Amino acid sequence: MKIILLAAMLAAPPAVAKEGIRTAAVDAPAPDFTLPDTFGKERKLSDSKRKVVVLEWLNVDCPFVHKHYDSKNMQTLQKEYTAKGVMWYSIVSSAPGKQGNFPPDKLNEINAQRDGHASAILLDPKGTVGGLYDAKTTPDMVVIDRGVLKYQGAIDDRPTSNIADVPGARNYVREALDAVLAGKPVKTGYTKSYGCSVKY
Amino acid sequence: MKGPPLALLILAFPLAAAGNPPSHVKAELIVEQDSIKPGGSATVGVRLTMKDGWHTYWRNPGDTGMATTVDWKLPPGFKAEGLQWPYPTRFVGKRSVSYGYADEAVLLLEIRAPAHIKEGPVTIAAKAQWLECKEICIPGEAELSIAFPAQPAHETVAAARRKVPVKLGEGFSKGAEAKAIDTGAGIGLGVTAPLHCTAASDFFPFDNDTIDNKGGGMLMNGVRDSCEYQFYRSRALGEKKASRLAGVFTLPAEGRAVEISVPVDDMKSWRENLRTRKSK
Repeated sequence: MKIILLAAMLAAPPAVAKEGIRTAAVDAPAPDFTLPDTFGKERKLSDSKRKVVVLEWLNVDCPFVHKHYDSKNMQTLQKEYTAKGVMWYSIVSSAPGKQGNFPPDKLNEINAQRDGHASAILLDPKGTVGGLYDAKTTPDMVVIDRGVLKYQGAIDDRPTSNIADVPGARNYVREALDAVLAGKPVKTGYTKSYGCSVKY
Repeated sequence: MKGPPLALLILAFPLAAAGNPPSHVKAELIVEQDSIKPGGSATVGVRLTMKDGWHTYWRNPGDTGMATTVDWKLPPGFKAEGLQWPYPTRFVGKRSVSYGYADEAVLLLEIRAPAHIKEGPVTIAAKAQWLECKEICIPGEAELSIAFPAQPAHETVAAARRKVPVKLGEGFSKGAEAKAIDTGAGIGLGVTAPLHCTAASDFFPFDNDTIDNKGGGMLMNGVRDSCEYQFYRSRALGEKKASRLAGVFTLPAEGRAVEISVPVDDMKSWRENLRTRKSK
């Protein structure tokens, strides 16, 4: 049998060690930010530090986002949980000129057409907040309980853009929200999100 | 030998689904041989041809995208093995990395005919669904079919098959071994000769729960006839140690790849293994 030393594994290169420290991590404080919403109001995460907050990365033209809006899956969640006092921020991190980047009025119009029930749509054209949370896809979902990140990842366990996959899917966001609202631990704190790349 | 009658040749051309514009991907079924014998086997392929700049996805799409799916409709009594995926390439975005195919993807399926085949053409049908992406992504699908006797596409199938990974230690990789370790700071993978890694070698994981898709760096090459890589740990691991590293290791210089699935040692078991080996 050959000996594979893997000696170099003994010392992690600095790049890896540095990369190991994530800005956003499950059960760690959620990085604070301030972003304008589509009505020009500044929204600061830590203003909701006594609340449960959902962050949803949004690109209205992404097929995976369509899946969850055309099926009303997203709006249903938004309606149900904002009624329970949850603050729901949809964040648009598309850069100017990229897919999903629209003027605020246009986003409000699309949101009205889709009967969206987010508390606010936030504009992050520089991708700063997307970077803080390492948001990779639309939709990428985050659940924060009183300032602590409790869930980040996919909306559910069916990583397709097919609307037929919505019924019967395991909805991780609902699970996390139900748990934190009941004061219980979140069973699944992290999953790999799926969807279109965020158009940074 | 005379060629198949003209009528059958026409049947051999794939009947692509009407509609679904504007697609940037052409989908068709191809076959390796012109016929299939009772009790015999044949290779069929789904060929996706992408317009310039567009790509479709591998079995694990990575951080974004969606794996292509193929639902086969085979004649009664025909059996099929699993879909074979040629090794992919890496698409690096600003904060995400995906795995897929530019230009062309040929996914292969081995089918086996029953001992008795009814008279007449044998038709293989499939519904392919994919996500095509350039700057933006669009879902695509096609209902495809091809009938034996068909115009064979030997070379396309052979080229795709060559890029389908062989299991580590089999075929051209006979004698090669692999080992992985999780140090808590990173995950290392070592592979041995006769696999000769180059700077272009890459590793594509089957899932996203072990290593981060941003990829690895080669740390050592040629030491004790092996080369070593280090990857970032997947965020999905959290504090947990990785248990298994599985995926495809590529040797692009040779246009080949191996499938690796190895348990991941932690530091303690790694030291113990080393001690046991030395004492032998």
